[in-house]
Amino acid sequence: MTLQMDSNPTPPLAAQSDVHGGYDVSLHDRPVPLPAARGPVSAALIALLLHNPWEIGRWEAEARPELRWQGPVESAILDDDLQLALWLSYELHYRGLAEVSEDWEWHPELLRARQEWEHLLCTSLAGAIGAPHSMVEPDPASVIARLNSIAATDDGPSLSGVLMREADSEQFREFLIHRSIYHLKEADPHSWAIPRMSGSVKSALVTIQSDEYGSGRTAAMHAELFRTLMRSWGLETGYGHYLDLVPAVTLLSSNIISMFGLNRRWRGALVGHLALFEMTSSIPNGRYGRGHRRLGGDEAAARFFDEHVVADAMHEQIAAHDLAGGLAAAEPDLAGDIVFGARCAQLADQQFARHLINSWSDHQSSLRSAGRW
Amino acid sequence: MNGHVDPTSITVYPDGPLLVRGSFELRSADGRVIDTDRNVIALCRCGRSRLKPLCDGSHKSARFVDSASADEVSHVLQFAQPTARGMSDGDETEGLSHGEA
Repeated sequence: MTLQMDSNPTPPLAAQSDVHGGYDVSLHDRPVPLPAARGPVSAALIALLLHNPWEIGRWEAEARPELRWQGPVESAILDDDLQLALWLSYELHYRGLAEVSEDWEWHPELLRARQEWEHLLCTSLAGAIGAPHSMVEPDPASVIARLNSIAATDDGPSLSGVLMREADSEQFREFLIHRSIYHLKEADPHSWAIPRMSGSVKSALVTIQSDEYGSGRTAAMHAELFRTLMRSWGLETGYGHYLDLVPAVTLLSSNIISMFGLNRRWRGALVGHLALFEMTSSIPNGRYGRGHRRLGGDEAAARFFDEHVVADAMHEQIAAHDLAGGLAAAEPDLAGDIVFGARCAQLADQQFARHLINSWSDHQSSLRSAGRW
Repeated sequence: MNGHVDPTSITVYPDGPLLVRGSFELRSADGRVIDTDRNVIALCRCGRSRLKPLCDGSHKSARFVDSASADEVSHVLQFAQPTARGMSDGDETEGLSHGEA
């Protein structure tokens, strides 16, 4: 440490931005800039969020009509307007939204609207994959067998195969842009489960999460490995930077976990979601890594993929047996939710893969409007 | 440390790897200690991993089957013989159906 010299009253720019008295804050995420609206609900939400929440002048039992989404329920999972509104309302719990009062996070007006959106999302998901109850026998062995069966069901298009063998560099960058919405906060949504678990189930969860966060080494945090990977591909690494470019299907993946994470009542689904994530990660990440190298990707940056192959091969066992099996043993009533969460993860993944592969087969960008980055 | 430490454990996962938890030292056969900062490691049991001795998830594509129930592991340790069930492999692939709603 050196003392500030009086003779130099204007600090250099670097000192102003990233280093504060020896603390490196360059990796500290900033609130997400507000995106463009995608329809009437997200437009109304953004307009509302720009007000001071305690001065909005009205506070009624019903959700504001302008915050009500009117589409057919089965299209809720892929609706840009609804998914963006949900994503923004959840982001208040993560890094926050630029220019938006932090008091909105738990404001009843917002929560009431969000509850309706969540209800629509749940109904839409259950319509697509079936309701949680009666999905499985309420015992650990049945739950684990169901998770294995879901993980082995391979009826969606193989995005990892396309990225490994044939995607071009621009498509690989698109893939990273989509994934940045989740990976720059990788593991955060599942951490909401920690205070809701106890005993061996909790220690299983924390074993996984500890790896996700780099076991105390900032540079090894999976989110930071992803940032390094993005940088190596010439992408912007700011948290939420690409929000305007990603379609509903990308937001859906994040929204599902946030909904499960922020509602204790969905803790079973959150655990099932994590289990399926881990159970279907090693092999695709090995392929992504081969695609990255085929396209001349930076060797050091490939660590993001390599680390996922090794860590998730181990996490997979812990997640299926110790975590999901353990929770099913402790709370048999959650067995159906565990499987439901896994099926939701699979559905979101399949929809995402289909969108990218279809866009690319049509020689289109998979992003909302290409060219802004 | 007061000397009371949980024993290092090796868990045999069905159709999957061995997980080593607790204090361990990884060595090559000539006795050299191999550095690792991992707290838990998964060791390949199917022989198909590209990252041996670590597991890389290949047991699934290899359709590696070994139920590794406590009874079977115990039987093998006691009698140095597979159980009748353990001898007929391929009967534990439950869950490969596509019975989704």
